[in-house]
Amino acid sequence: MVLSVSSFFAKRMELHLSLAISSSSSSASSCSSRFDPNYNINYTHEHSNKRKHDDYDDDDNDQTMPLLVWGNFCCNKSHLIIEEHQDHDGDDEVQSNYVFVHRRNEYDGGAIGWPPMKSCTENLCQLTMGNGDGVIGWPPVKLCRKKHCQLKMGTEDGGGGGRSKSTYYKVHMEGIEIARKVDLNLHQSYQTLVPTLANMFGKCFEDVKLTYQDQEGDWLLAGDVPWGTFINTVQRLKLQRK
Amino acid sequence: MVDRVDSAGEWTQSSRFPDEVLERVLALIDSHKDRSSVSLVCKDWYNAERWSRRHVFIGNCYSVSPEIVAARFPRIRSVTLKGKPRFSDFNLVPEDWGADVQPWLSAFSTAYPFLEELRLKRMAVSDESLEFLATKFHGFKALSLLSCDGFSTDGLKAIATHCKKLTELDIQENGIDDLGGHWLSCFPESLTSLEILNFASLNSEVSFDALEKLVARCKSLRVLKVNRNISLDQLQKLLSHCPQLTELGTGTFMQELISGPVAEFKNMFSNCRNLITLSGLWDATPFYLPVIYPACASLTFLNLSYATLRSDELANLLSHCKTLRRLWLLDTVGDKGLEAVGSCCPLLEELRVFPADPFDQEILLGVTESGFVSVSRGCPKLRYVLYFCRQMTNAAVATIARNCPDFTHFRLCIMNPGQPDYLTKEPMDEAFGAIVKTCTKLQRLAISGLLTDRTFEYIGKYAKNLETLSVAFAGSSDLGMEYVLQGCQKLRKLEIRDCPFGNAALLSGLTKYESMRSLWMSACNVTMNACRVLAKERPRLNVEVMRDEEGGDDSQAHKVYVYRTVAGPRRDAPPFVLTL
Repeated sequence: MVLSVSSFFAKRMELHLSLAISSSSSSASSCSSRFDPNYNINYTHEHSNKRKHDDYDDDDNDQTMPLLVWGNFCCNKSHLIIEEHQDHDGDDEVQSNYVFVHRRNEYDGGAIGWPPMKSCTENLCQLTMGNGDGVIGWPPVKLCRKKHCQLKMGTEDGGGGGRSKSTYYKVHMEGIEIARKVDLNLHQSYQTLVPTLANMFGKCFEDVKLTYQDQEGDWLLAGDVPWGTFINTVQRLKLQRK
Repeated sequence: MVDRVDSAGEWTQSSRFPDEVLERVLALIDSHKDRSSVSLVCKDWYNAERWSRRHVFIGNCYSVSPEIVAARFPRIRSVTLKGKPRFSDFNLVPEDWGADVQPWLSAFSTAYPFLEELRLKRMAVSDESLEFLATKFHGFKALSLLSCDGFSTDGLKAIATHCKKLTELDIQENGIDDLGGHWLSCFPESLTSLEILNFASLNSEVSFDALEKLVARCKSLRVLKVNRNISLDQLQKLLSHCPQLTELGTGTFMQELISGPVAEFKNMFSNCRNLITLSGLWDATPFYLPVIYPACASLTFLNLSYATLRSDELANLLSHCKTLRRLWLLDTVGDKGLEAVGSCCPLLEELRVFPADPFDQEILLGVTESGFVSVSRGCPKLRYVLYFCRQMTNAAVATIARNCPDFTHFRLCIMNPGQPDYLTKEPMDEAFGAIVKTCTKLQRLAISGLLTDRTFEYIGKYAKNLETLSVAFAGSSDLGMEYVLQGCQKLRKLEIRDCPFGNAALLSGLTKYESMRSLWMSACNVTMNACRVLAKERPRLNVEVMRDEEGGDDSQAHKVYVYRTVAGPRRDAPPFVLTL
């Protein structure tokens, strides 16, 4: 049984921490054939830098929160759980709460509205669709504009950059001699990049952490800065065991 | 007027013009809708119309076959053909789906050897097809390819080489293989007829020498849109050869090494007195942007959607552009930039605001409801809006509707699916309710945000002129889709993705789909069986289901495309498209 997308959205207001989604909800509906694991439902930016809302603190219980949906956590998740993961970046005004919903195999029952996923190592390549977006084809921005965005984000190749051009960066994995290369043009977020890299070395993305070297030569943990900043400064990548 | 006796013995006055006169008169009618009406009057008028028609518009290439078109219209000179469903722009349609132009070209080569113009949108076009076009149609003049794919610059070489009378080459937003810019050098020295040249979306470098000579010898050139590789220097040289241009797309608007003083560039546009459209402006910075000020006073369309301008830069620019009617922007200009739009451009009719970083959810910039409201206050003549934002409120949209009741196209994209009014937390139903209630001329609507069936109830009840509706991540039940199908009499195109509409909704439109061009439903709750029922009940519809590539439930219809046709089921459907 799977939840319809709409009832799922209706439940969003009730999503609190550590709430196990019942597997026996609503109508049987598989609402998307192509929902990507990195489908990010980001309901509100009420904590935006530009605005301070008076109800910032009052709203704790009813906060809508960004929902990061990970596709099959391969490993030992046997049921559906939602964990809250608080992320404070030094700035008091901006606080993001990330809620991870673990999808699981339909045949065990209980996946929320998403199609069946097999183990993460198998399906990950398939799940990183096309340009490695979140949901396929959303927001509805045409390819020519998407490419322009990518070119702007620091992967500029001097006015050229047709479809056949790409920007490959070296990736090392701790303990493995042979390095790989990844085309960063195909990705718009860490959510697709990390699993892709882990997959290259036959690892599950849960077992690795991604670091990168910036233009100043320093090694940093990926994920601290927005993707756009990362793309502009990254020189090479390294995966380390957790 | 000729009096005559009809079969019942009554005297009647019938306006029985000789056919030639009727044809002459009908030849003056351009609108294809009017021509359709004309052809329905009587058999004489049907015949006169078909002989006098020079241009045919085919909105769905599978709704009719090339043979049927050729049989009905013997004297066509210009064809417009549209292929894939619109959602193919966003990767929802697999490659090799179809819409190949070749069968059309093959039929036309015998039926219309004197074909002059071909305008294609979302068609699959191969290099071989382009070569075929260039070599088989000797008087061919105008080629326009919008959002097409399957060809490379080799195909363009063929066009440049063989089309001796070419007046128009317009290549936009295509997925093509850019094998280099040599195609442009293939225009022979003898070609002087070019009026429109647009290669802005191609990425490779062209020979500037060849381009300059081409521009210099084509005295009728009025539209020139170059690609990003053309520098400011080079642009200046080009403009010196064609001051008569009405539409210009610049190359890059930034230069690392300044080869001449900026003052020299300042005169670049002074001689372009006929310029009404300006686009390109890649990498434009405050340093060089003032170069275009002399041209701004007469501009009616300014496309800044590839220039990452900030609000102050935009404000300075717009203070020179009082006569703008169409404006395209990137959301880097922010709400402040939009305030400037509102105060500088009272004649504005169309505004499109594109997202600079659509996929980076961590970016909290861009435009909000406040910018949109500012524009609506200053620009009451707005009729076309495309607006990408990350937050919106019902109240703001209601205000916008009040300020701009003349909307004909309202496309609002709140980029996070299912996002409610960020202040009240309510669904965005009332926003779109306000739009459809107030804007009675609305023809096209794209909705987003958290939406219940109420939105669709409003649409069905009030949007009586609606022709195109795009829906994503919206609705609560089958009722939503049913409201729309029942209420919107003029609906022609309905495209739906990721909504909880199921079989009952699909089948509620059983009697309606033949009056529409097409229906697209993907990632909804429709089953194969319901599609089979629809196909069986309506043999004049093609009901196509695209199989999900990843397997999954075979009883679910993952992507459904329904369209009316007189050509029967497709004969070129790939294996993953099932026609029921």
